[in-house]
Amino acid sequence: MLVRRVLLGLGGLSLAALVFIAGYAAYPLLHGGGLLSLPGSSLPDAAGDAQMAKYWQVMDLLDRDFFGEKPPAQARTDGAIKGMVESFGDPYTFFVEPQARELERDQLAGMFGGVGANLQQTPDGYLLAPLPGQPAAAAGIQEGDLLVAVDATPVDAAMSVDELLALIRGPVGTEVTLRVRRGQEDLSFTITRAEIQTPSIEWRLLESEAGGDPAGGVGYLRQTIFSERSPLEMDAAVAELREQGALRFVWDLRGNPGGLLSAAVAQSDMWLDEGVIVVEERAGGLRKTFEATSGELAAGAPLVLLVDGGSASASEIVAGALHEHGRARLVGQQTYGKGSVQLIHELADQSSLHVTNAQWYTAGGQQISGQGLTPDIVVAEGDDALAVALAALPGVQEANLRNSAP
Amino acid sequence: MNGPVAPHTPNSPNIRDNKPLLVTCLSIFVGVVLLLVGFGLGFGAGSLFATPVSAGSSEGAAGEQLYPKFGVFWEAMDLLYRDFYGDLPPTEEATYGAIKGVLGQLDDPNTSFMTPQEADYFRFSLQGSFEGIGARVDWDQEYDTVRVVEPFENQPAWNAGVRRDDLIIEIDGESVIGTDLTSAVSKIRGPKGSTVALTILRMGEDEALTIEVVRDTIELPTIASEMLEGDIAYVQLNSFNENAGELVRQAVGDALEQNAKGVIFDLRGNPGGLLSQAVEVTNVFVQDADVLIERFADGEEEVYSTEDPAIAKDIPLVVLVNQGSASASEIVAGAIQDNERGQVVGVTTYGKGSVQLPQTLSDGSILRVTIARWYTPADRTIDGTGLEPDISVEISDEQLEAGEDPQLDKALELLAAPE
Repeated sequence: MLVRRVLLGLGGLSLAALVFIAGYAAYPLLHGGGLLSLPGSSLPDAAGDAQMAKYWQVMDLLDRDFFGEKPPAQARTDGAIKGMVESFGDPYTFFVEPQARELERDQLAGMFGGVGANLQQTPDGYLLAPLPGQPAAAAGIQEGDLLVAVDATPVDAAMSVDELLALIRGPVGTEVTLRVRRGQEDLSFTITRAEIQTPSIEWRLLESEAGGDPAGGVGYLRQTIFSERSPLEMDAAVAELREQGALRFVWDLRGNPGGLLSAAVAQSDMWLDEGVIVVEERAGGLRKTFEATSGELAAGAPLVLLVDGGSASASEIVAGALHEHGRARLVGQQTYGKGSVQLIHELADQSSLHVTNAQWYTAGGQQISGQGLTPDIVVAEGDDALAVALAALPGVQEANLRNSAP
Repeated sequence: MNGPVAPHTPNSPNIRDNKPLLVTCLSIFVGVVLLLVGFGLGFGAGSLFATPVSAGSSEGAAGEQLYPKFGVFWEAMDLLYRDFYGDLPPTEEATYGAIKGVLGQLDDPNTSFMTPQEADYFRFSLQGSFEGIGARVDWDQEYDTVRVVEPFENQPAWNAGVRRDDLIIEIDGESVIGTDLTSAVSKIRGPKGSTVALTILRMGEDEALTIEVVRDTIELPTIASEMLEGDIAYVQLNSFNENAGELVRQAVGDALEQNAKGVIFDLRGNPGGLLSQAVEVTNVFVQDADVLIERFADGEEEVYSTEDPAIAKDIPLVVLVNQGSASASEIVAGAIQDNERGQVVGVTTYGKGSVQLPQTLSDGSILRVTIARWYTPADRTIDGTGLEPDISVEISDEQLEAGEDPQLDKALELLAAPE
């Protein structure tokens, strides 16, 4: 039987969803409210709409004749939207049902209101594992407690992770009551939700060989997604690494499916002094150029980007920009090749709609959809890409010489 | 982590949620025949549903029930047409997509919708011969892709090495997982002499196989009959189209005139067709007997019986079935069993116990709705389980390849034995 560990923070399912979301546009994200009432929106006047007449005819026939369980109105509408969206024939334009949407939003925000516990899905149901120092642990939840209800809603093994997470999470400061079974006992805990952060960047100073690396210490940053908080995290991580002695950096974007365009632009800007980062072409032909502003996080510090076939979208924007400006070398494997940008619209029922709204091009005019970026140094699958990256990372002296060359 | 898998499941984090849009009845002859399979089944009930349904009758129950939740649909549609970067689909495509999306929420692969284009293609398919690979396929719900129900012996698919239960996951390099049967079949079919590359998953094989099949003209007559040694008549019916009853009556009548001592009625690989013809065909062999019981969503029930004199009600009879014998074939085999008219030989049948009513809408699209379930005269259901033969005889791929037919041999043996 499959036993899956899922963080309350990042459900395995929601991560999977992000895989193809890679590359949101920043603007309407999370603030879709203003877009809900559209001019000319033909809210349900189905009988008057010739196009949709066929749809209602089919619904009538189904209701009258169908032998079997008829799905509720909500499921029908979700199905109709999915089917309609599929007729656009674009894998990145899709519909996300309300619960999955909640998780997606949390993930892109980089934080959520939660209780701070891991969930383990077993054939008997969901087991809890509280994280030290977090609200669940403080309230008395113990590792191995079987979750039987959240507030008034019973929980069993049949409930999906999405549904369960949607129940447990909520605004910071609100309360949630978890009922658990511990041995023979049924216990109830009321927990105040706190802000649980889901860092997008892990970092550390790499051990240097034999006491003091003459070429300069290496700061290693691994980024898993481009969330709202990513630029802040990178800022803090690089500052801390420099304090610890890092003079050179490896930024690992392997397996990073993307995220917010705004984060990709802001983070690229941190390593560039000037120049075009990315050019976006919207439906209708409107072009928008994002340019770097002066000032760098670690001026001139040598940088290598690690990429692979899972580096998509926002990752490719960063890699394309830093590479074309000669700011970083790319090491690893061919990237995924997703050059489109989606708007995420929140719909009235908390579901959301991803709509491909633009293509992006690198500063040099390269369109990467379907092709991806080819690294300077290609590392065969299975080889130690980090070792190759370190070997490719110029020493500080070397870099300085190069930088000061006339 | 994600990479290449992503584009197959754009709508949902979970492939299971992304149900195929148009899951057709149960089996389609790739390449064509596509008989009225499940989609005819149900004409018999036509009189119950004579009232035409008018378009725009959304003031009806469905409309009222759906209105409160349907606003989100318009909201989504407006946003798409406003913001989408790329070619916009015609609005009727969006409507068809919506209809298919709703049907995808039903837990019933036999309720389906065909756009006018798809419907034309299906009608075309009903004409005699077609060009294709010569295999029958259906949609595998579990793997969400095309499954080979039966490659026809000595036809291109079989000769190239395609086998029963193979899962076709790519056609000419393009993934078909999560799509639907109609579109997959249209990719498999093509002009005689052209080649199609099928990427196949097969139980017991670690890696996908790619098999290239050269398409050919596939002839599949509705009926074939011959007199075997020992004066045993062999009658093979390949579909229950509107002439099926008459054709079987003629073939069996001819055999009787030639003093046949027994009849082998072969329904192997027959995917079904019209309900009325299942009754007609049964009527060739049994008289004054029940054939099936049909039960509708509202609890109504109808019993179908043979009404005409049976021309062959006494002659020893063996019915051959296999896993490709579905719906109308299962009705006939079940009726023969329950009326103790003959012996059923072969392997467990397909297991389709539902009845669909096809309705052509004003623009030429076709909606097929599962309206009933059927039960054998003894009130047995075979839905999902299939009909058990009286005498189970398997046939292996090796035997097929060697041209052996142990099921037919068994039938001959039974009919030769003194009663």
